[in-house]
Amino acid sequence: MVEIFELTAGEGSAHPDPPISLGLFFSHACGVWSMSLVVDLVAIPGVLAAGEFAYRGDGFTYQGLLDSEQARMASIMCRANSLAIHMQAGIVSSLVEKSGFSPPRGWVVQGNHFTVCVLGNHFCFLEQTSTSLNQVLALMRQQAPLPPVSLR
Amino acid sequence: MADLDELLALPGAVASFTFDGQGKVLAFRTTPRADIGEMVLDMVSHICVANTAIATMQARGWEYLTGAQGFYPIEGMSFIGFEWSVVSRGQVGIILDNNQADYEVAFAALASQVRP
Repeated sequence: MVEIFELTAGEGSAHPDPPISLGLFFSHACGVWSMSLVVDLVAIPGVLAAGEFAYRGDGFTYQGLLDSEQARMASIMCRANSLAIHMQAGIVSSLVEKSGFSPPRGWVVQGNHFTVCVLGNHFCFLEQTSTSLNQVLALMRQQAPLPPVSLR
Repeated sequence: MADLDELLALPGAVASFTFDGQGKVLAFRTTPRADIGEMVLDMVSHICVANTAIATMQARGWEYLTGAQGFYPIEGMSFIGFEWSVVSRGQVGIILDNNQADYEVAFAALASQVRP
């Protein structure tokens, strides 16, 4: 199944809720079509879902064990947090000549069973006990594009 | 009490630090390999507190909305910069050089020393 999810003001996806969706996605910010990293991530044992969100907030795609509403919420949260760390890195880098944090690449949060990783505009939900965090982060760092210059 | 010297010996570690619930740095160790001043540590500590609080709220909301379990409580977070990463749990943090960072080891080391 190939779908493009586009968000409009005040609405979620107008698409039906496929339990597993593989979307082609146009990243407006980067200007490239991207889906290979998402496919690679969900092929890793223990990865529940992976996806990509638009920095401008007007689209997302995903694959894995989320329905489209959950993926929409995940995309919004991941995007919001990513913009926040860009703000935070910007403050730190404006205070010192060289901080090592700018431009930020992403973030990780660990719950008591699941971990959420975001590198660039890609997100990944994984099960801690059956997935190597280092492997996931290495793959994401290798393939996730750097954020647009406007965010750096 | 976290052993900051032990944390500083982790792969890629260039700083280790503790902070209070408001983000104020309580103690820290740094290596000469990275020029990390107290102002950066202070900002990073506040970032750790802020982002952990936001993530905790989101995890709570996610579990309520989806019925899923296993996201709450937040047990650790990492801010991945271009050259450095911060890994924190509770009120303890480590700054790692990305080229040598082992995130699994860092999270495990923090878990062995800190309750979230």
